[in-house]
Amino acid sequence: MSQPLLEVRNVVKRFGGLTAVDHVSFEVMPGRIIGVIGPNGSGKTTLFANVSGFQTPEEGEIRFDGRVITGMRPSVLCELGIARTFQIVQPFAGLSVFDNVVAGALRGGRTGLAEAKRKAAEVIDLCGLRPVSNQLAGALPIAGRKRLEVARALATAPKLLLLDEVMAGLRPTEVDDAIALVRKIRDGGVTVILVEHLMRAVMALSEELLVLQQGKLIARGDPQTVCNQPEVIRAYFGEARTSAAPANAQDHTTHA
Amino acid sequence: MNKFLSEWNNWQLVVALGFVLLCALGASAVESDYFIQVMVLAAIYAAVGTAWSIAGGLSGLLLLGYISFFGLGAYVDGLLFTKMGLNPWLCIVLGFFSAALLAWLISLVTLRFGLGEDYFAMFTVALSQVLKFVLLNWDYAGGATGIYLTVIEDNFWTLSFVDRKPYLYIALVMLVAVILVNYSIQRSRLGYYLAAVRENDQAAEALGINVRKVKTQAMIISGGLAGSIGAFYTQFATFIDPKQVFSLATNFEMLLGPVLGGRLSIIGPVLGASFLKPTQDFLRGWMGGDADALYLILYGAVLAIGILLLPKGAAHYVQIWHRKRYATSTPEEK
Repeated sequence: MSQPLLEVRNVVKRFGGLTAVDHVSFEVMPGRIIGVIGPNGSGKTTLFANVSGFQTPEEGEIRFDGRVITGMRPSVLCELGIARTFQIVQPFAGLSVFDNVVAGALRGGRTGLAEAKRKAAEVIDLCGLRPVSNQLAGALPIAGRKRLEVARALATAPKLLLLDEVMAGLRPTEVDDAIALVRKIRDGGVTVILVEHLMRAVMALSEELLVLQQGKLIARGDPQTVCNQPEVIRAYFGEARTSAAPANAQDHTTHA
Repeated sequence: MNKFLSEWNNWQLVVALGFVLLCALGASAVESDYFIQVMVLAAIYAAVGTAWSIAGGLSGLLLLGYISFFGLGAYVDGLLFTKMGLNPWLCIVLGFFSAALLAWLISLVTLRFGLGEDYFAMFTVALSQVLKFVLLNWDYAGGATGIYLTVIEDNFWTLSFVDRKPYLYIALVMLVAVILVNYSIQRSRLGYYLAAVRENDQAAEALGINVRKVKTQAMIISGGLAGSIGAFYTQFATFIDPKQVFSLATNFEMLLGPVLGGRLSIIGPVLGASFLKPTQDFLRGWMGGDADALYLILYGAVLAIGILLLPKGAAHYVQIWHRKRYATSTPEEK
């Protein structure tokens, strides 16, 4: 088949003595939805930060569309076609929702203002933000802000969209909407990598799953298979299932 | 027309230009040279304030030491005019370019090395004082004595008038020019970038906006405009010295209009300066020269209270009114 859209090879990111991303390698084929899971602090967001240019890895190489992008600025990577959302949403609070999306749709100057406004209106419709498009972004509730985060990134017309926990804090019906939205985005030809804690969404969306633990990629593959691997279960639930220690089991099972 | 005015920036533009026109018409009825003098200074301060708000407001830079650009422009004019006999209109253009160059250099140094905003503020303030001391000790440029221009005849071409009124009209035209630049920036792509960078530079960078470049552009435009106004100031004042055109007190007076008026607005700097500058001049006149310190205390108090009570500037409240007023007439997206 065609070449991978994203190739991550042996990427290492350290913060002092802590290795946040530890020799991680994987590739992403175009048109796929890839899920990244792992316990808190396992390096998911750091991995995103390295791919999107906000951090530079100490070792390893990242290739996008066949070219090496390691160490490039986020704005340059956005031009090449990588867009991301932030786990802690970062709206332009003082601007209207519409203007937020226009700022994305301008694509750093490669789109004219009139064209950007047209494109922004389109994206706003796609993301279901039309009813609030004149409101100030700072006045939106959390679900709206998460949507705006996606809309703004999508407006840059990316080839690869990195979604960092866009479903955290949403109500079940809102999660259903978000799942449908991610599918629509992929059907529009955008490759999606999503970091998510919400297993329902991850399982519903991912065609391939990456599992990180303490910075290492411990499992990778078909979601169902991956979730039944002993390493993954251990990473999430500790030793409870494999060792016979029922005394401590309730801590772990409540999370499931 | 209603649709045009329903957009906040358009409404501001109309109000600001209307106000300038009113001043121009009103001035023709004013006899006193002193009043005209006050009006020219107010127009200059309004123009400087509006120019400052491009970098200090729209781009969100904490540009505290702004007078460097004004002073540089003033000296470029003073030197080139008296030493080389260059045409003053050309000096105004050169004032723009020299100040823009300085702004570019400042951006290069501060933004390249990622200076935090507080350090950026201190750097700009310190730089203005460095420039002051350089000029104080530069004999060729008149040192502490400064530069005198002699006006002997009315001549539009050499920007010299015995009467003060023509200076007012030229100052108002410059003010209109700065207002139009500010307005066009806000409507352009650059306006969106500036807003994005101001609101959240990390998110802006993620959307493909080169944060450093955008801030540099704002600095260059903002600084350049102040340089032009400084060059004009020399022609109007006919006397400059380093303590005057690089004065920190003047620096903060110039920022008072946009800060109290609203640094993200167009009407804020214009109306702010138009109100504050004359008030200040009359206060100074009323309290007399030996009450200079008292006047500064009063002025400082007004500034502190104003910032506490109106953190977003007076224009913010006008904007809230404006939004309510036109809320029903704008049901859909432009």
